[in-house]
Amino acid sequence: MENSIPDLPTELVIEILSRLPVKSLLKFRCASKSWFALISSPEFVKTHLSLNANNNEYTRHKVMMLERIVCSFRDCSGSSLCNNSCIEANDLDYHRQVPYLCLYGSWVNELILWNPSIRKYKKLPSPKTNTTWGYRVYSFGYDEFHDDYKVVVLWNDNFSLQIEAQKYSLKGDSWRTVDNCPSMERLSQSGSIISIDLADRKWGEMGLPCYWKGGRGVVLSLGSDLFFCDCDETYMVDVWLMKEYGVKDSWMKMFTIKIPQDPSVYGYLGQIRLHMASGSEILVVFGSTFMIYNLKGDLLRSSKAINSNNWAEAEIYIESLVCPFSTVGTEDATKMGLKSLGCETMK
Amino acid sequence: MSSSTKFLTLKTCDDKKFVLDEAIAVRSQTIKNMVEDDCVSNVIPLPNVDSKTMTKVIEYWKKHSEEGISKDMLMDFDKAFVKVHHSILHALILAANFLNDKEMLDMMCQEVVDRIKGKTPEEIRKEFDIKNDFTPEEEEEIRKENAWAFE
Repeated sequence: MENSIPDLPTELVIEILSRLPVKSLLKFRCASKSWFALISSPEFVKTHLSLNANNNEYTRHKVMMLERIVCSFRDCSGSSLCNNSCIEANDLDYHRQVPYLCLYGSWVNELILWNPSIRKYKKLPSPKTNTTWGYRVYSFGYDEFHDDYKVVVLWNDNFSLQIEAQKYSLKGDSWRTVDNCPSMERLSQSGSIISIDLADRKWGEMGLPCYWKGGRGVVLSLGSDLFFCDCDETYMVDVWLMKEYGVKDSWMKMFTIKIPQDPSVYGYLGQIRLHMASGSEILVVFGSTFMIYNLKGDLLRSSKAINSNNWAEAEIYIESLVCPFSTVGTEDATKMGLKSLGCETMK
Repeated sequence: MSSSTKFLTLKTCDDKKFVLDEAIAVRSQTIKNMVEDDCVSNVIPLPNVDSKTMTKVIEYWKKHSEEGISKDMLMDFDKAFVKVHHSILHALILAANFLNDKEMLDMMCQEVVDRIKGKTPEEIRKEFDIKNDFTPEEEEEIRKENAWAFE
């Protein structure tokens, strides 16, 4: 009696599995055909991602560091950075997986969509543009309306005031030109945030906090909130929160971060990243440093990765099983994989 | 105790009866709905829960309903509470699910997660009593696809 283990119904197995880290799930796929089908199903992948995204303890939020010169990527969990003064980052083994030089390299014309948590990537087709070289900005996001992942690229050829924009859809695996792109002139004068709606490709504009005097600033999203970091003062960063999306009057100054007076840090302020560490702490990432502040802007402590201290850029990502191949393709591939293994998808 | 304290009688599948303060029993959304819909007669049958499991559930409910108990004390209690054989853990998950106590269900599921996340597929099969229906070739193929996860 003591050793008979009551069987759990599928709904409870899902309840448990959806809380597991990606690495465990990839291993457990080979437990049985029904577990393989369950963990590979698009429904499960979505449930797992949304649970990770909404996890209040941020255990599945990862900080990814890029060492640009050697083009190596490492990551570690945001929560471990906040709770330890020293951590060991995982090598994401980018070189062995992705046979291209660099993700962001402006000298390489390859675009790679990569999910580091499952170590799968997709090479994107090249956008068709008239601008062969110049300044480029890439952005990546999820279009909830079409259940599709999108990449947006903006170009400026350094000579004209024209900006060109193209949008890539993972489902369609193709680029489309985005019309009515705002000009450089308007961008530099307006002192506002220009946005693009991933679903209908419409441009939007919202005002920055009235108190902003101009200069260096960084727009960041954290969870579902939009933040603006005013980095114009040398050792101070004012962090603003837009309480109501799109409403200029709703900007609220959250706190001022006092940056340690170290010139090596200042150069990286443009690459500042914020990450909520818990309800009352915030992780600030820039210039090879991790610092934990309270919501009043006081520096509480710092952390570092012992095996990675030369990184120049960091991004925050949420661990997921989402496959960077076209979503239609993923489902087909999953089904095909299941068919060849002779098992049915669990409903 | 105030004169308005109401008691409910819960009957488990092995015919054991538990008399419990209604204010505590309504931690179970299932029981709460029954009380609110006025379909509570003298005894509430719990056909999916045995008495051994129900004793544990009530121990948890009572502790979490204690007045003036500190957060730290509850954390220590929870830590000790989940340290049970995994057959009991699974039984408690089934009970928390049937009784619809989200807080308890979350805690028990998290405990299973903490126990299994570092395990091998072989250990998982044992833990969940799963029959491996892959051929060795099929299993090898899946392992090869994400070899790094097994390192």
